[in-house]
Amino acid sequence: MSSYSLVIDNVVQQSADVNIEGGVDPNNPSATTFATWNSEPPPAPRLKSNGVVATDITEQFINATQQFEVGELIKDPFFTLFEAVGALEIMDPKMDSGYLEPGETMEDDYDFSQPLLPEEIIGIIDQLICHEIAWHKGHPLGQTIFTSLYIDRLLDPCPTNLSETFFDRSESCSDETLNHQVLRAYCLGLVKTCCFVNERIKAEHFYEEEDFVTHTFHRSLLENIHVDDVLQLLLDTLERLSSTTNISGELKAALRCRLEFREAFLKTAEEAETRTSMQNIKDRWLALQILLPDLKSSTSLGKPFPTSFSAKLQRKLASTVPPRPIVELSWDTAYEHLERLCRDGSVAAEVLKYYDSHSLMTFVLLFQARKPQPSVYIRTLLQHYIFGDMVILGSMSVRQVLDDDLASTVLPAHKLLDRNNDEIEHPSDPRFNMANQMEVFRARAAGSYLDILRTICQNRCRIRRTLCRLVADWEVLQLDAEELDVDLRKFASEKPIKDREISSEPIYSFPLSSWAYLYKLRQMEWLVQMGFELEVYQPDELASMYWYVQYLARTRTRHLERIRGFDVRNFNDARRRPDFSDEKQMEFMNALSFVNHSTMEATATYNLADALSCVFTILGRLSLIPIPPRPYSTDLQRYEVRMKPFQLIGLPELIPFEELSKVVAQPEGSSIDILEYASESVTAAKKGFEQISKLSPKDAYCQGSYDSWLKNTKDCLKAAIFTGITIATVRKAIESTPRNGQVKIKAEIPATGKGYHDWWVVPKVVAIP
Amino acid sequence: MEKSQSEDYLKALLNENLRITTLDSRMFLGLFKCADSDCNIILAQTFEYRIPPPPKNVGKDSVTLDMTSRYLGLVVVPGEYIKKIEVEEFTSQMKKRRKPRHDIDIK
Repeated sequence: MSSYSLVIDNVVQQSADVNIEGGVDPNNPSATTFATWNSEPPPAPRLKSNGVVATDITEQFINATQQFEVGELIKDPFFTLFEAVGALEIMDPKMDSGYLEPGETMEDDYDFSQPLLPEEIIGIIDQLICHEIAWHKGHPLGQTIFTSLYIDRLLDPCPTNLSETFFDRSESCSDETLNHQVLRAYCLGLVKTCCFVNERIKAEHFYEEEDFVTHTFHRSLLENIHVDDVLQLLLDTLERLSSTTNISGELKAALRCRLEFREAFLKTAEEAETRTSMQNIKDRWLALQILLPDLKSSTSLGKPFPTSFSAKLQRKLASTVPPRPIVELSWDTAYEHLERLCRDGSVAAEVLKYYDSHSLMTFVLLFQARKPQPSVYIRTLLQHYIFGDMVILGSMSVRQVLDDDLASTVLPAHKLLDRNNDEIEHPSDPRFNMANQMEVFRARAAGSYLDILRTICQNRCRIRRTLCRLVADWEVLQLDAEELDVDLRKFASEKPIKDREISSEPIYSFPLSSWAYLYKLRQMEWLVQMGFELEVYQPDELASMYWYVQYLARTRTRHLERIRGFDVRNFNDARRRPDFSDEKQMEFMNALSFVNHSTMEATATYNLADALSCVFTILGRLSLIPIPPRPYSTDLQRYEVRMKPFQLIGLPELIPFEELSKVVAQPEGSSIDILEYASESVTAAKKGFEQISKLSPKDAYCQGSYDSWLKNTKDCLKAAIFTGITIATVRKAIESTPRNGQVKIKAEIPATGKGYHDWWVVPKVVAIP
Repeated sequence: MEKSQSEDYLKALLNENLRITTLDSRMFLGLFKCADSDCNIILAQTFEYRIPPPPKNVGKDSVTLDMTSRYLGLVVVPGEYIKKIEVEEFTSQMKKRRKPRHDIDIK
């Protein structure tokens, strides 16, 4: 029975992983959102055991099966044929990694005592570098590093100390040649580095097999051997190398830089996890990066030694997959990745310097948007820096960050966030109740807030898919916060706005749900925008999707307007009170400055989105947008599927399909009028992005990532300028075409990475003769 | 054996640990999940056991070698390669152990 439940567990986990956009569990989003596959099999049972005997039933069994008709079978009722498809077929060379050709032996007849030339050592090491990077890029160890016979020799049987790691086991340790020692020290350093990398990745959220394979095929990555011993061996080997006279200077330098590289990489991997000093981590990565050019220039000295690698080694590894070929990664690709790893690693460490909660989010968003996206190791390090042990950035509580965020948006210098409330013990005191209810809120909101950060640390596709769940979670959070807002009102003795002109009801600020709504809107925008980056939408959908972006961004500006109104009102009230201080003034100014910045950004966004939506509508009218044949669905059905994540959202309401197609198509507007409107919008967008780009890092809430932020803003500006050009070109073409004539232009929609900004798909319109 | 008896016999073996030895002298130990008329057998949570290659420089002394094993998971062993099938039983339960049920009434 236990075995069965194991199988089922796997299946459930797998489907939880696959069905991201389907079921949503609002109670526990992070658990299901980040479900990963546990692939560790149980240890092998011992064959000889008292109490267990094996009885030969060959004859009975075969006789019994022979009674069946062809096609009939007997099976465990819980075992499905769907699962059976995944079974490895024994004795099939394509499936069975343990299959031996007739006459083939299990082991490679490799002579570990054979002398190696320095050139060959360089060749093997450089091949191992390619394998290591292939592993970083997501290939399993079994197809990369574990195909090296030397690595296999080190790891099997599992050594308990360095004296058990000699390649040539027939001799004593003093006889080890220098060349062998260089290779052994390098390999030990390599495996130990992999151990740190693997442990780090396993500790954070990532997608097994999709991002990375942490599976070690039941091999220990030298967990028993202390890193200091390996580092010492590398240093000793360097010393022995420098005192030798048997190797020419050039080759010696090449070997030396490889050992130094390994020592530096191992140290970096070891220390990258400590969050105490950002500078130390940065220095480590930079020191590693400096060593790389020497590796590159000397790789040509190496002589490939392919016989020391074998795909056959896979038959010794615990593996539930068919045998697979050795991954071939070119040196240039590996080198490029390595360089980027160092660069990204040193930048990722900068997150440890905290300025404010918004700058933190900007940092993570922009860091993750780097092209190509930082590799999974760097992304998990970033997660570790942010969330490790639930101490944010190694020094702050979640509450600190959350309160910072609330204070800089909806509750500047507000009594709800007053830490002195915590000291009150009298249950009837409103301050006691405020502290209490706020704690309830934090407990509820912290997970959702951190989930945003955690989500944007994932790969680009997963960010989009997980946002689908997050917006649903924030919808619920918003509703929960609303109840708390109502409760807190009486403790905070909030006085509502009574303005007959606006509403006959008193208007309350609803600070907490207001905050949740703001974040929900941002995530909804990101969700739609990520769809452009990932090329999720068909060309003929672009007009409505940009319409949606402007709809969401416009809603956000209106909401920010409301927040600003209450912030200003509270500011004026606070100023009249005797306890008003400079500190409080600062808090109010900060919140207003954030609201201003967000408003500018949302305004520029809706203007550009509006303009683009119009451009695509007009291109559609001119039949310049290809419409793929869709015989199996209607527009309405596709719209429902596309907007599924928003169907659960109460506010802003999902626009019904009929209405949406009408506002997007604007059937009553003439093409020239629509383009005129688009041109006005894009001019406003240009102005907006220009203004934003002039903000200081503090006012733009991008402290710590100003350069990437500025580049991002300038890219948006370029997209806006380019949109303006497109509008003008289309307009000119329409105006110069006689009535009912065919407009002589064609439209090209750039692929992701080809335009100025991946979130802004600007069609390129060119005249055709 | 009658067909219904065969069915009962095999059904009773479902989810038992089987040891299947193949023609290339490997052995597979796993939970019996499924079998068909060609005696193709599906095992779950399977381990592969292999007799290790003889060590070099063997003297006259005999050496004991453990079978090397590794985890494979779900496998199907085609009937044509099967040399031997064994079922694992606890000695404590062997008396109750089902035999081919020639002697049991089938209702």
